[in-house]
Amino acid sequence: MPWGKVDGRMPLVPSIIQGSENDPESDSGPHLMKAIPRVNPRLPVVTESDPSAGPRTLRIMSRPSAWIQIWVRTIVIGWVSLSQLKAEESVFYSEASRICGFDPVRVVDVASILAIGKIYEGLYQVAYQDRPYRVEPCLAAALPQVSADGLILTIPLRPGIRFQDDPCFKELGGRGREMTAEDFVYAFKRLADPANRSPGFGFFRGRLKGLDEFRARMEADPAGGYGSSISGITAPDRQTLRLELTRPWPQALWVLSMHFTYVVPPEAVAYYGDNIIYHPVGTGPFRLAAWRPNYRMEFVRNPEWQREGRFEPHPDDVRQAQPLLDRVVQYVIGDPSTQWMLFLKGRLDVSGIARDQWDAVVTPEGELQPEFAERGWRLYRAPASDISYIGMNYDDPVLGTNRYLRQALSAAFDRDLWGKFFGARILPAAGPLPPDIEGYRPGRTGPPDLDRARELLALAGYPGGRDPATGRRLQLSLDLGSTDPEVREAVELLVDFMARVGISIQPSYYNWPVFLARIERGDSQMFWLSWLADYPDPENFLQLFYGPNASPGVNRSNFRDPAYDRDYEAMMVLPPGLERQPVIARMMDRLQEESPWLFLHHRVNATVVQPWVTNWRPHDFPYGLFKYYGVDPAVRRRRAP
Amino acid sequence: MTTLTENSEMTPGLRTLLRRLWGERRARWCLAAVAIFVLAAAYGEGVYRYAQWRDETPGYQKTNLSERYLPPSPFRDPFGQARRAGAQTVWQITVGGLQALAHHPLGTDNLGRDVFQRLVQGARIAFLVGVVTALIAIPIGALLGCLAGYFGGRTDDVIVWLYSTVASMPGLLFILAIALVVGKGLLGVYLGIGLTTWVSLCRLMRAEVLKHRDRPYVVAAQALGLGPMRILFRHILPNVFHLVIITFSLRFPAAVGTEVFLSFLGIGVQGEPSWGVMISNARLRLWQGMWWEMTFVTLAIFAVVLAFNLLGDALRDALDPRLRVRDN
Amino acid sequence: MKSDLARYIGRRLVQMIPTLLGVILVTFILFNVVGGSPATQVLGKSAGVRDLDDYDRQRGFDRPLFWGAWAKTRLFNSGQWGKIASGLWRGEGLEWGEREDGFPLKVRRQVVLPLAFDPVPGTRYRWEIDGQLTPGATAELVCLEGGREIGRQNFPEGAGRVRLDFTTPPESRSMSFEIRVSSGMVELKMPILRRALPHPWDSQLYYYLAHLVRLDFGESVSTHQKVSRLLLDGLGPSLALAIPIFLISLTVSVALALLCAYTRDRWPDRVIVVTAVALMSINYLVWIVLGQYGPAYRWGWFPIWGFESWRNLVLPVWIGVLSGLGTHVRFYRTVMLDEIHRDYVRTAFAKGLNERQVLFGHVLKNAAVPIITNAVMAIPFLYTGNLLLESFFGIPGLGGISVNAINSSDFDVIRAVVLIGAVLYVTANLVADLCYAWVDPRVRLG
Repeated sequence: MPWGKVDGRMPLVPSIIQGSENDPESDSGPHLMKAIPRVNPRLPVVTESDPSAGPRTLRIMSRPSAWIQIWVRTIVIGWVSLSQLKAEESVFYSEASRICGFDPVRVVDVASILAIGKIYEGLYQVAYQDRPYRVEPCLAAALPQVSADGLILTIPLRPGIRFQDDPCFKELGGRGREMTAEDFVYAFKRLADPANRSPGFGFFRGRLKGLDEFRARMEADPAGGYGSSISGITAPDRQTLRLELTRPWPQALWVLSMHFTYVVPPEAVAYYGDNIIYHPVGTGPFRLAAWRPNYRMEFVRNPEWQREGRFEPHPDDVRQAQPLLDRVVQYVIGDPSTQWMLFLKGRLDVSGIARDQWDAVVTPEGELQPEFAERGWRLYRAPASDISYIGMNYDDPVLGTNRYLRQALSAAFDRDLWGKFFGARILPAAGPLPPDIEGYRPGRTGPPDLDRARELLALAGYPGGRDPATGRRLQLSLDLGSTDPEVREAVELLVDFMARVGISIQPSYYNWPVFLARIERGDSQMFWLSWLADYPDPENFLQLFYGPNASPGVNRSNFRDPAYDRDYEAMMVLPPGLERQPVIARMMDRLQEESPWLFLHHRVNATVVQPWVTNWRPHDFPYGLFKYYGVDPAVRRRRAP
Repeated sequence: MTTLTENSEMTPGLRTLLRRLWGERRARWCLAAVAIFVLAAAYGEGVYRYAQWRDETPGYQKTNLSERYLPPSPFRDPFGQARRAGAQTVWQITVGGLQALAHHPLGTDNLGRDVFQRLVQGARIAFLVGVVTALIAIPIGALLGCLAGYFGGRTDDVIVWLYSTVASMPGLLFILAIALVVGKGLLGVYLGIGLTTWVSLCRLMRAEVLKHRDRPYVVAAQALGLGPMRILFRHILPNVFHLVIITFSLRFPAAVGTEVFLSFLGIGVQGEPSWGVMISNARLRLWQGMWWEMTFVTLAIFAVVLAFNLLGDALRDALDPRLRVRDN
Repeated sequence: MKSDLARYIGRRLVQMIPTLLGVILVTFILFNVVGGSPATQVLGKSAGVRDLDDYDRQRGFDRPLFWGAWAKTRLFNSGQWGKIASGLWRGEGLEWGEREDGFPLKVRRQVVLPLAFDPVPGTRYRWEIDGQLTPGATAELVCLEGGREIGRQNFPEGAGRVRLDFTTPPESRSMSFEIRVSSGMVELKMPILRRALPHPWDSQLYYYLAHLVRLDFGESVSTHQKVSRLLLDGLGPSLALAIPIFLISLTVSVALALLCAYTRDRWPDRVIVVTAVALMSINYLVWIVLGQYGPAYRWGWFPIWGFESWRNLVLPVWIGVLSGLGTHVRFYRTVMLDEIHRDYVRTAFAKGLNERQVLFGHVLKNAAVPIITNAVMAIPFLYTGNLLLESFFGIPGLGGISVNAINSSDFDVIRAVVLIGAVLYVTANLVADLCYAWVDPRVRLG
């Protein structure tokens, strides 16, 4: 199927990107003009509400009387579509990266999770409105009841949640089945199944009773495993899920709100097999209408939500039911320059601001430039839960044993110019923990202390930056995993900073996989990476320095410090609160002292939004939040360029 | 098959060749353009080497965020600037204005680096790529072509197999793949282009040597008992050497273009101001009206490639009358 | 005649085999030798060593390239021994040898070789450790399972290699390995742990060929999709862009070349030739960047990006045609002029035919041979698509897919694209020769 059709329908919108200026049909604005659902007379029965239509169409065709039925349906559907048009569809257009298909257990990249979150749902989600972030129930009816020892979580589920209609539900004639606790047990089994090669299993390894044993059983006998039970994951009744932990796990709720345990019906896996990545069947606010890999995804409102009376009030406006959007269309654009041009032309509804655009779009005071404010754009800035850093390999003979050298690099780093280069898109960093996370310390600004850096260099054994062994400048190599112009220019700036104290940095650029492989093998001396939080808990960042996590684990700079490791192990089982804070502070001190990383910055997410977008709010864990966004077609018609 | 005498096919000596080229006005212009290009590349290499020798950051890499986005100097009202800076007399204004003109004559990029100097460095990279890839591809092509044509039989079969294998892979993709495997940077570009572009020369040489194999002068040499290698490289090669020169003149601009392409994709040159890198940087700022970086790089590439293309035509006319692009 | 043709085609098909084998071998060597395993990329930032090792085992990335009885394992990291060991045993009072000697670790007592995870149950492994003993020293490698010794091997005197084979028990229990030095000192270089393979031909090449025979091109690492499906998805858009470019530029350039031949040495010819050279000299990249910026964004004549209707194709097709036009016109012009200087043209003129009759009746017919050859040989390149045009204008074709694959080291995809390109190329070669014979009866197949 070269067009990536998902349920047998052609994309409803044949043309939206093309120029409005010389398109005579586009008097109603470029996005709306083709919003009439085109009903193809040859495939009239294939509509959203009739998922089993593929095979049935053929049966109908063989009977002559069927043609009458087809025409009647066509007219009806056409009429219905036209009447829908009067209400005007609200469609959201945005950019997306390439995704790895729609299987929750198999993906780990942000773009795929965003796509999956529109269709599938999990037990919990990160609340849309509240800061600091908190977990709230999604398909669970409430937060879990925790036993006194903290090891047993009993999770009540919401009754009456149905999967979207899909041909895989054969007994119900394609009607979506009601979701039960057993479906969640099945989701955990899929996660542990080695055949799925799930990148998420690492989060659960050794955490739940019997899960690791289940994985070993599946490895030994790939065919027969799903029947066997997992002692720590059971469904006492249809609406209750019971999880038994091996040890206390304060981060459990965060991890349960991640996409790996989104609920998937076994029928769909049985029906589609490996092709499940093209045919998502979830309970979420949207369903997949068309997916053309490498180009375009289209989602439509899941009619199930209205039909079954699943009323989800919008947090901003309780009178409105989610999802607010009728459709979401996303394009894989890739090139930031093209993406920006499309946003300027009103073809996309949200956009980030690249460094090259920053000065032209935002005033030094952090407001939109007047010409863009006039267009009704809105600018949102919110610090992201991430840290960008230069990692220094502790196993490297030069850097690993020389704390003064690492400190000298940190001292020579010019945070002022760095900030000037990036504009107000970054916050200075003092440690790994970003703002909004327990234990965050604001980074300092101001010019670098070059004298201190020179002093430290001399202490490190490189007076004036000269390597006594060679008599020339000390040479350090910096590995990069991207050749993006912005990265390249920032690196050139960084090289210049270090040259001021006499250190010569040699950047080497690799593509992403090669770069990762080099770090993994311990070949890199220094490398530029950033870590985006999986969940907003300090543990997610502090694990990056834990000795046993060394390469190829997440501790990519192979930092090993017994005192730190002891603190980390103590911190792991502590719930957030007073008891944990001093431990975290001690760990942060240790990191500042040892400087295993050069802490560059925390990103500030800057987003510009078109005037017709409503209810937009920046969020660091926006998976599954598309149901909250809205678009006002009337405003779009009026204001689109 | 051919009615030409052997003499007219002989590759003329360098002096004859230059005289013939100099005789044409267009070729003269091209030679001058190429000479400027070579000088720029040599100057760039000098700057690069000197910075290496002094162990310091070269001027074209020095960032200055307070001089970002300066337009080319004539657009900055240089003489008015001089007057505002306090110049009184005509002489002072002239001198001050000229100084302002010489300061970032082609403007700066978004890190405040001089576009002119980076352009010159780009010329250096382009020159290196053109020459080194030719040095890889031409010996391989010429050697294999000669051997296949002269010896025939098994040798020919193997070489034909080799070049048809290479030729049948999609060219650009093959270059990208080799560059990817070798690693980002100049070496990847050299090998990627060098190892894929020897095929056409190899084919030409094979066909040409095949023709020469039964010529009287070769038969005579064989009768004298000379060894095959000696006959091949001392007698036949000089007669078919014009093919090498023509191939070089064709390959050079193509290699420059490919390098721009690779660097633009982020697979080629890293950390040095290549033309492809400059285009990819400049493109991001076009919509804000920062036209100069893009324009000057584009013009530079155009001028170099045009000069080589025209020179290639002239060379072909001068060297191989049968390949002449017939004008008269 | 017919059987001659069949025999000729048959022979040519047989001749294709070595070329294609060559292509398979070259692509395999190019990507598998240097490529390595994409496990980290697929499994993401939180994957453990165990997960990476599982992935390698399932996808065959741990096996030898061509032949061999032992597979790699991540159980023990033997990458850069010096760096890894210096990190592992930092602060434990161990000494290091000379740097040139690959960082040998000097051991005077007992050292545990740490494993990254518990070995896979029921599998045979082998240790290979190079060591250098000081005179009179004795050292041994000991294998312990749940605290109980199950194997031991002495280091040979002087410099030598110790080999220890062991099989993990069917139910997993913790295993550990120690080097015990009872007297003197041993310098360790590069301990390597390997996993035994069921049979020595179970290599990466075998894996690749076995899948290729079933027309299974593997799976894209960066998108988790089957390569065959990815390529099928990309073919349509690629051709939608490439075929118009091909046809338009063929017609236009042949027409212009004819005009040149007709008006040779007069001003239309001169103008065309000069323009052609100028067009040739504009870099392809510049065409695209400026084309997207000027006509599409600035002036709004064309859509900027996308693949929604034919309108989206207009600008890329224009750019594709213009950027190749110079080269094509010059080529066809040379071909035509070559023909014009032949004897038969002189004869035709002598017979009293006028210029137009000669040009269209004789010259064009004879020039058809090189034109057709050139055109047919261009066809395989239609399939690879226009790398940059596609990725700039958002046409989801094979060109864009290939660029993405290159950027994400998606070797299965690149390999498949290159291989299919090669198949098309050799086929086109054959078709070109057949056309040759069909147009020009003087050419005999044989």
